[in-house]
Amino acid sequence: MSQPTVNSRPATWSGTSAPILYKFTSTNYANAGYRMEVEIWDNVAAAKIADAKYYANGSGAVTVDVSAFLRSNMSLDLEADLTSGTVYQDVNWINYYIKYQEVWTASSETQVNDSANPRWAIYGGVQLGNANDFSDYVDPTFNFLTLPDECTAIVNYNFLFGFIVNGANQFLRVKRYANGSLLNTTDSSDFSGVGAWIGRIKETSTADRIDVSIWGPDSTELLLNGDFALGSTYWSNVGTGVSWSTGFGGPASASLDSTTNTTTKNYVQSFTAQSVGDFRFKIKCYTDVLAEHFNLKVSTYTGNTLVEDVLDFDCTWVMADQDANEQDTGIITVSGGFDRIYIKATITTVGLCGANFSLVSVTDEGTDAQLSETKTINILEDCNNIVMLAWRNSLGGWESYPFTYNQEYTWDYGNGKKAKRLTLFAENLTLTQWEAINGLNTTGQQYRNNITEMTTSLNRTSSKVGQSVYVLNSDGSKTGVVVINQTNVTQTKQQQHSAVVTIEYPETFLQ
Amino acid sequence: MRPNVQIWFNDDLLDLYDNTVIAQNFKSFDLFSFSVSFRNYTNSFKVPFTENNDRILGNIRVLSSDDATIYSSNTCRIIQNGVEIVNNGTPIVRASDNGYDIFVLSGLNVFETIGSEKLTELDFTASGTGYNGSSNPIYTATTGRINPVLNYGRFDGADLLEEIYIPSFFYHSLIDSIFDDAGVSKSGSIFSDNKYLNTIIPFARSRYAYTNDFIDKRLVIVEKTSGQSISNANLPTTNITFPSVIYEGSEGWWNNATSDYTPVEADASTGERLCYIQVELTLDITVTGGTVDIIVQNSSFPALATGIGTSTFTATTAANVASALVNTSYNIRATSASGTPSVTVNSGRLTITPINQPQFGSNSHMYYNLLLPDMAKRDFLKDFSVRFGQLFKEKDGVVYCKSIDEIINDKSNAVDWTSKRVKAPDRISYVPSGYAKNNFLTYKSVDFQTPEDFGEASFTITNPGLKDEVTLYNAVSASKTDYTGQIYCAQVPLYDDTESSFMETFKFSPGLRVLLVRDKSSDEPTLTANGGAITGISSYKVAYFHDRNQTYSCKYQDTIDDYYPLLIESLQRFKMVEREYILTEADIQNLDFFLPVFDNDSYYILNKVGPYIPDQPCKVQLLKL
Repeated sequence: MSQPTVNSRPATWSGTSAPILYKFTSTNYANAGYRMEVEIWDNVAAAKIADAKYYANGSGAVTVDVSAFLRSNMSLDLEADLTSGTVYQDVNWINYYIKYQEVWTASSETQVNDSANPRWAIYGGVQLGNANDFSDYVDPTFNFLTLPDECTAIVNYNFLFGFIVNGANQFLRVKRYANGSLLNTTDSSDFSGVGAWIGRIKETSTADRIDVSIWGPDSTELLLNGDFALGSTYWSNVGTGVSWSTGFGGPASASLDSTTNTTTKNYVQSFTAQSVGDFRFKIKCYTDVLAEHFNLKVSTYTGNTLVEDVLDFDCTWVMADQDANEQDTGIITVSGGFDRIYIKATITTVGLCGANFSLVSVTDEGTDAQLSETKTINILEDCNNIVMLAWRNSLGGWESYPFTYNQEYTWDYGNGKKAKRLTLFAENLTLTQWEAINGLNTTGQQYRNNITEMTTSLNRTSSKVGQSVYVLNSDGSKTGVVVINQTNVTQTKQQQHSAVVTIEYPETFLQ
Repeated sequence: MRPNVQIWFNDDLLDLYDNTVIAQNFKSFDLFSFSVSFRNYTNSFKVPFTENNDRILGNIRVLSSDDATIYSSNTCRIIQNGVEIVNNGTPIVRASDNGYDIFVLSGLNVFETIGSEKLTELDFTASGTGYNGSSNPIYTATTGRINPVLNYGRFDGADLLEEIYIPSFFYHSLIDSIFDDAGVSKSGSIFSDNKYLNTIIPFARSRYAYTNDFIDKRLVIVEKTSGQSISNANLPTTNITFPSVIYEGSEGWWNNATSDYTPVEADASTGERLCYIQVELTLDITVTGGTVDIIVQNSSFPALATGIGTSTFTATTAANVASALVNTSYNIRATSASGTPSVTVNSGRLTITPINQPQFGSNSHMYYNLLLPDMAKRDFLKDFSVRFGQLFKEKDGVVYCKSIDEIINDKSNAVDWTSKRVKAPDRISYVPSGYAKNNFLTYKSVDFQTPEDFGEASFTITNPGLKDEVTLYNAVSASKTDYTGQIYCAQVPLYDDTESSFMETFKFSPGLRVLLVRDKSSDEPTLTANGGAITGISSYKVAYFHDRNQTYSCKYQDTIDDYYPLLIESLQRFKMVEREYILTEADIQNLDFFLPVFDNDSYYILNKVGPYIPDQPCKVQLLKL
């Protein structure tokens, strides 16, 4: 008896629209009553989501497809509050692993926990001609889960797009342009975790183009003089601040007596001259009393000459005890060469007291670089009959398109309900936009959403299996609609294409 | 208005199609066939293959799914427009093609819970009803087990012999246990009815023996195939081991680590007798320096083999020489018989078989549930329904019992549906189905002492549309009641007068019978039992079938007279009316087949309601009173 050989596992990210396979070779398969009992676990919720049995073929190969079980634990809904925020974690993905055990009539192998090999799945799929592998959509290739080469948005309306975050300290960079000139660059806060994410832009001013891209630490980390820990010999205490000694809670700490409530520490480290660029530091601090203020100032020097104060940020951490580790990441962008960094840390308590503080670490997190493709969104002027649709595409990401032409308005009275229907028209589409819009036509069955309580957050009365379509309103609200399938035809040699889509709004409640 | 339909599968809400219609059908407890197969049901409806439904139903349409959800007992609630139409349904997922096919049963779920379980599966352990235990006779019990005066064929009016240990069981205790085990409580006037409380089931099995399941759960077959050397010095303390378990019953009396057979019974005390055990041992043994005896250590077993030298032998104990004592370990050892022997046990096989004949007498622990009639619980409930004229209703974990006549009499609580009626010509049926001009309730006749027509009762219905006769119920046996000495008691022959001692296998099979017990009268004698080993039995109860001196009788004519007079009266001018009513969800939620319905100028008993679809006329079948 021996455990089965794992020949292959699913890709790190794969789609539930196609088989998601673990492949094994068993040496026990010839035993009477042989089967492989598999448990599928949600790695985040730490909960088992399914039990399944699989059987070997005549040569001991066992193929375990977990796609259906994963899909049933996802949702295609748009749960983000689109009235604020720029990025939102999506709900159409899962982080999972399996446990497997070979069992047969007379005996069994011990269960193997494969939690050391977590995988991720998204409710979507790549198309034929590809392996079930979303590696093109994660670092380092990092394409957006939004298909058109060129996107179109409207002033004052939300525009949604999707992407996968697969690493730490990554963020969304939004660059606004007008007439080809960069107006400004805005970075989101770091994504709070791995997963599928939704990005939102809403232009309310004069930009006519917005570029979005994902940034994060590149693979080449800036290393200063080796050990970057505060306690290392590479750092020296300089200046007139209170001399912090190694002790409480970390490599360098300070004590306040009952007559003062502020302590300051200066550090300096020398290293080989660095060039211009972004450097990311993570500063971690804790205290044993309530602190109200932590100030960190970072300056670069060449020799003893100040180059620039590159960072001066106040944190309003309220730290009540030593266990409440607080940490934050500061980005310094240096515009000139330097060979020294000074760090001045000042901590102020709520009142006068005896207290201990510790600046635990300053960690070099590397430089930031663009990780993803750049997705360009053209911004059009507002007009009075816009229907801005956002919908899940086949990859599990989000598409958005503003239908600005005339719409046909009817009512449907089928299946015991009354519902408004609009037929939308789109012109001057690129072929990829035309293809993306036809992604609205799906084959899933329509069903009625349960309404257990009437609340303001209800936004649809019907859904289609495998489809998630919303009308995005200018106030940030959204209305769930279903698409009545309609065939569109175009000619590939044409430069411009047109499409027609019919949507059905939530039913009207009547007596 | 959008009908808001919610279907909860356990605690999860199923997604439904736009046009899903749940039509609910409600039935009275099968009023005219005395059947206990009764449930409300919905139409079969489809739910879509959404992620939510897949997850709730365990992805069962994925063939590799090993999820047991839909095969288990699940609960279902159906809420229509905010009103709970079904609150304790059983969802049945029947099939799937382009959606899951589901229907929901509800109403009397207790029968579904009971399934095909038998009375012998009743939980008589301490954690259940606690009836298992000592074999000592209980002469005057009012609940559980009782050992009444009853003539099994050898009673002479003075000594009850060993048959005093043969238990009878109170009918109401079995009903209580059935409901307890099903996880429901009960309510109804019948449960304080004197006749009901004094009804018993005498011993009904053809052998004084537990079921074969008793053996299977405790049987052990083990063997060894490799040698085990035991020096002379170690012989007194070393078990012959049997490392390979060929079969071990579910009670787990075999300890493979120590090669001990240890009877365990959570409710019994250490040292109590559970049953006889029989040991069969085959050994291939090499003995040097003398001879050995092969014994069952720590028991009253005689040696399995004595004076054994090198040999291969098989030894078997008698079936009734030694008992399995609670928490006592039995093992096989070799002891010195002559010389200073050392042994090598080359191979062997050990079979320890429990004997399923209960041991009575002091310090014995009895599994009384295994001595109950070989009868399904639901059949017993059917007998209860017929014998005491009871209909069942279940709500919120309570089974309500009420006789048909109690319902008919409850006109003061009738529900007035006059204003809800859809005015249309009545469809009326005048011939009751399931009945005849002459309707018999009869006992089986299984022994020569009971006259064939004994215990036969009938009622007549004057209706030319009916067939001549039908036997409505014939499931248990009658018993003759006659004087034995000075005691007028029931006769349940297990023996004729030719047997001189208690025998495990009876000459006659008693079959299922139902008797009543009464207190000993002052002029009845003090008795002895077990051949005089037990004396001075001056207080006891006497089992009887029919006794003119007693208030109650087991004759069916009493059943008809006591529990069915108003029903029979209604059947004489039978009118089953089918009408339509506009019922609200609240009407359905409060639907109570235990209350008469009043409409315009008459009272009715509900027989069927449905299919009920909100805001549509609902068909209702009513029996005119």
